[in-house]
Amino acid sequence: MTDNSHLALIHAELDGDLSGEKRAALARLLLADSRARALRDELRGLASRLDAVGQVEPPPQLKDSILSRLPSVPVARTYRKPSLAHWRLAAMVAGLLVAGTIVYQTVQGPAPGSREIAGTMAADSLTALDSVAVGSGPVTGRATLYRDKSGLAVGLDVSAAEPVDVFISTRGYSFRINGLRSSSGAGGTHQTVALPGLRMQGEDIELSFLIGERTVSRATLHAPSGP
Amino acid sequence: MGQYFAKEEDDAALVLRCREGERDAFEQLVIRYQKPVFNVALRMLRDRQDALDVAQTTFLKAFEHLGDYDPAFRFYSWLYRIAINESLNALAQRKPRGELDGNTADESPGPDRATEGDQALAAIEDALMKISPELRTVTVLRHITQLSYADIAEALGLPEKTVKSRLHSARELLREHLRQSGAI
Repeated sequence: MTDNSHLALIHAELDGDLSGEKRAALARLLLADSRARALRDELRGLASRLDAVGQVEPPPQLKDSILSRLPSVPVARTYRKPSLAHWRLAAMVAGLLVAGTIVYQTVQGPAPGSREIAGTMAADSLTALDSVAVGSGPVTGRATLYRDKSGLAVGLDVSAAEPVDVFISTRGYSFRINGLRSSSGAGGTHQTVALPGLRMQGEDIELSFLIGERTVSRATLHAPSGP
Repeated sequence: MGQYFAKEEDDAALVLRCREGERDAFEQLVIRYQKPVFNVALRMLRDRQDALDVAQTTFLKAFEHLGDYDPAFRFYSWLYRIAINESLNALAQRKPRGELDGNTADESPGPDRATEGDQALAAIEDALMKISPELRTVTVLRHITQLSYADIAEALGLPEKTVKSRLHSARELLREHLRQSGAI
């Protein structure tokens, strides 16, 4: 009888999760056990048949039916209005961020000079437009919005024990930086990311910092109006 | 380190525009996802009219609750979660009408199901309707919409390990049902 460990090996193969050691174990099992071979063939066949079910086209009226039923109230109005409790919480978080920044800068020393900034933008021509402290938990540091002749850029100075993904979004653009992490012994890592084609003014750039797909910190940079 | 710049407007950008009241951005999201959302509902319910209703409700709820959407997560995971919940609600409402699961074929076997491929599809559809909605959910998301385990886990709010465990159970039950019906 095929036991659970054998089943687990067969499923792992279907899932593409077999390590080299497990692959060898599965190969030995299949050589030795004809029932395991039959079971594996059936499960593989089943997975293929399920994959082959595919997707049918939806009724042609579906899109128009949805759009015609959309409420007339603009979506923006569905934003949750912050309550007094939210404002209190925001004030408390802001206080903690300021305190965290002071501690961070005291511990880390002065921020790196502009010539230390990596990336494709010429450091000498960068102008800082806005800068915010990032987090007080697993990710700490600072995010800065720069401008030069070619457009806007976001500079990230972060420290984290684990790799951090950063999701940057603003009107019409969004992208993700994967695997940002501290370089050992350097007290943090610096990355400057160009935002090609963006010259907007008076708008916010939202940053979400994720560890293992969980948002651990957020920050908002504001591109000021005017030249 | 990987990074990219989206050439086409991605989901998050479209959501941002929707939040600013641009309805054409939502239309783009409907065009992009109407097919997979409809198919999730169809395979969960096996009824075209019910699937159509669920797909409509899914997009309407998504529009109404865009303010609650966290852009740190994938938009389609959030959308599929709504679609699955609406499908489960539709199934729950269907129960009082009788044990319809497995008997409400939207495409009844008949002359148009005469080919071997159609019979095989019908057998799979029958088997899918015989397993629990929870197991059917992971099967549909994995094999019909081709989501990764991580995406399914995010959509269902479950640990990836649980998703895999459910999928393994589903495969074994489906295999049993197909054996009993002589389809394998």
